[in-house]
Amino acid sequence: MRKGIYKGLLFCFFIISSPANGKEPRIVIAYPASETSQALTYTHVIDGIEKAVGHAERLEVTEGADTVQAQLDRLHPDKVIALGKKVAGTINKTSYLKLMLVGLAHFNPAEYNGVSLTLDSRSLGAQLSRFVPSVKRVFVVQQAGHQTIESVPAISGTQPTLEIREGSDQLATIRLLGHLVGEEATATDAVFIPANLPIDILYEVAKVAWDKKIMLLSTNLAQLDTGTLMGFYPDELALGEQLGQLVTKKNPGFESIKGINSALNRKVAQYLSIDFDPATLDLFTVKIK
Amino acid sequence: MNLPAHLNLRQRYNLTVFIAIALAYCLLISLLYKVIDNYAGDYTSHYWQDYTKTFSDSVKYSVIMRSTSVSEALTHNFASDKNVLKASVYNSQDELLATSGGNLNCMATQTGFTTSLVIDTHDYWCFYSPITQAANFLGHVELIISKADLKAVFGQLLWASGLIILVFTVFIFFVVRHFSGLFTTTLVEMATVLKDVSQGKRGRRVAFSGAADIDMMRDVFNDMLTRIELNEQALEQRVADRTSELKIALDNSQAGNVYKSQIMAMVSHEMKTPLHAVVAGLQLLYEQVPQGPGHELNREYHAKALNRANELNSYIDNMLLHGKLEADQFEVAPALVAIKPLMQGCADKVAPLQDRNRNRLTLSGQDISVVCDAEVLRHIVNNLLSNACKFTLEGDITLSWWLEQAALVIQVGDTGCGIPDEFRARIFDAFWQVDMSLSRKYGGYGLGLAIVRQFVQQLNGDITVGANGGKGTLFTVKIPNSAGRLAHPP
Repeated sequence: MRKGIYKGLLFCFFIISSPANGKEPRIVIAYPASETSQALTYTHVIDGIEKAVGHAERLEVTEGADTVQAQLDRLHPDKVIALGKKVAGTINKTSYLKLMLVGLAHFNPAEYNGVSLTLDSRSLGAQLSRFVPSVKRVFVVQQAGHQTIESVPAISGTQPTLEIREGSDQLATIRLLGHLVGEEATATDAVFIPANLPIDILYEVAKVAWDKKIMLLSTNLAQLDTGTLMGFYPDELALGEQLGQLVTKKNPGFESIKGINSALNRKVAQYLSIDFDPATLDLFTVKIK
Repeated sequence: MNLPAHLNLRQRYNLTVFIAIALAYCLLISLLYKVIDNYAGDYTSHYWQDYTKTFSDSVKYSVIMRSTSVSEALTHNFASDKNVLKASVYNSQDELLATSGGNLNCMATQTGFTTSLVIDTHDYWCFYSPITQAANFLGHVELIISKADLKAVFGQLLWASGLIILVFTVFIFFVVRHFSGLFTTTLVEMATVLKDVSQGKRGRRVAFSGAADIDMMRDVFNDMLTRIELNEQALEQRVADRTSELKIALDNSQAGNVYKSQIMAMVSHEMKTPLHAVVAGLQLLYEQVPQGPGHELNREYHAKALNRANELNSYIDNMLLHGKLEADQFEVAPALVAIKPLMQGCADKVAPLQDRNRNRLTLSGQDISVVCDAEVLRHIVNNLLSNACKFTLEGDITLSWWLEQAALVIQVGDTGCGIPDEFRARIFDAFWQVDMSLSRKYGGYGLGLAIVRQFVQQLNGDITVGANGGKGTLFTVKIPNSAGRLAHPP
């Protein structure tokens, strides 16, 4: 009887003192030292992460510093979230590379685990079907190596079909876009222009699209005031939360960003005769006249 | 620059100012024109370079899309400017994609215009600009721009500038002419008065007036003329006085010459006539004195008396000769003279004197002939040899002669007492001797060398005296050797 009681108490002690149940994983968020407006972006992402995981250690990495390994040794993290490609590269050289998740950077699954800045096509399609339900076909034109939208199979049949077309280089991409806008696309189609499209070419493309009343969409907010109807860009807080959720997974992999903000050029919308009800209009985080 | 001689000072001044102003304006306008031309050319060229760049940017999309129709439309659009003679688009293989037409060709040797290029010809510019997208070279555009408009503008500018130059030059000329009159009138009047004064016109004065300093200049100038006239009058008076004095002196001189001639005639007649009688008497008496012992003393006295009488006759002859030379009444009679016999004769003549002082005489010279007055030449050589024998005791005397260029040179040297340096300049003065005391060693009146120099001058020659080596005297006589009158020995 006593022996049985003793075994029972010992089991309870192990259960209680087990690290899996008694200790939160130690997470370190490494971000670059920055005094510019980018610092605010990092703050938003870190806030999102902490919203998902609770407390996390912050590690400001100075560019060129070789003390990261020692700092990480001192913090002894279970997971490291690296914000930005430079910080990811720095940590990739330490012994903590396998514990690292990357955020706030464009990368592919072969490079890192984490949340890439490429937009999740499913989330994008959901937003588009909400904003412009009349669009049935969306063309995504982008240059190989400069992808900004990650194609994910759509779940809902109500979303518009997404056709991704990639050019091998900038000239090929421009020709692809010019041909698409000039020949193939119609007024019921929307075209995502390459984020790195030169402004002078954008003028020419926008002129053609304007004449054919084709909706131009972009993932580069700087292109919004040059004939583009809508712009889509990452929601930093949501990105942080997505990173926080990913870091708690047992085997975190690669994800594209699901939290997407949207912007609207109302003058183009007016020209294209697209009306938004106030509730929908409120969904746009940026609206220019 | 030579201005016309008939223009007066004021006209010359005005003409000079006019030319200077016109030249200055032309230079200024030329400079400005050149600067503006360069600036406008550069500015216009830069404008069209930018235009070409815009053209290349505009056709870039159509070239990327290989849309010939759009390229053509853009090309014609850019060629619509009246200054554009031709607009063309080429691809990266230099194949023509679009052109506005025209057959102008800039003959650009370059192909594949990866950088902008401007070819500047006389009538037009050719602008080339590459079409690029990032680092990709897509082709190039060509614009040919006419310079006709620019030239027309500059032609008008040149005409306007020329007209402005003309108007301003004329205006400034009249202004300068007006102001120049204020002082050139003064100078012209002064020049006129000075010219009259220089021609001997008296009493001319200037009358200009103006500012205080002009009036002061007038007064000073007139005072100066007055003083000049007064000085001239005083000078003329002094010249008249001196002329009068000279006339009196000339009259006296002429009277003196008359007296001198009378004295010379008197000496010649009144002194030489009795002296000739005395010499003749003494000669007869000397011949009548018997030879033999007991009469030697008598013959010696007669001989001394005869020698003294002859010496006196010689002195009187010298004095008469000197007077004749002084009065320039001696005339030379040139004739062909054999020099060597003449010299030998002279040597023979002084042989007694030479023997008396135990001197050795050496003659050296060629057997030459010259055209000369033989008597004058003989007198010169005799006198120099006599002096050498007279002032040399137991020494060597040399007589040498030769022809040198256009002159006969005669040298008489001795090893006698010599002439101190400080006296050499005076030995040719008449009646002057180194030792002029009554107790002097050597006799004579000091006329010999004076007559020699006068004779040499009569022959247009020259005589100099110097030391004969370390001892004695060396006389050198140079008598001009007229080429036509001198005969060389065969």
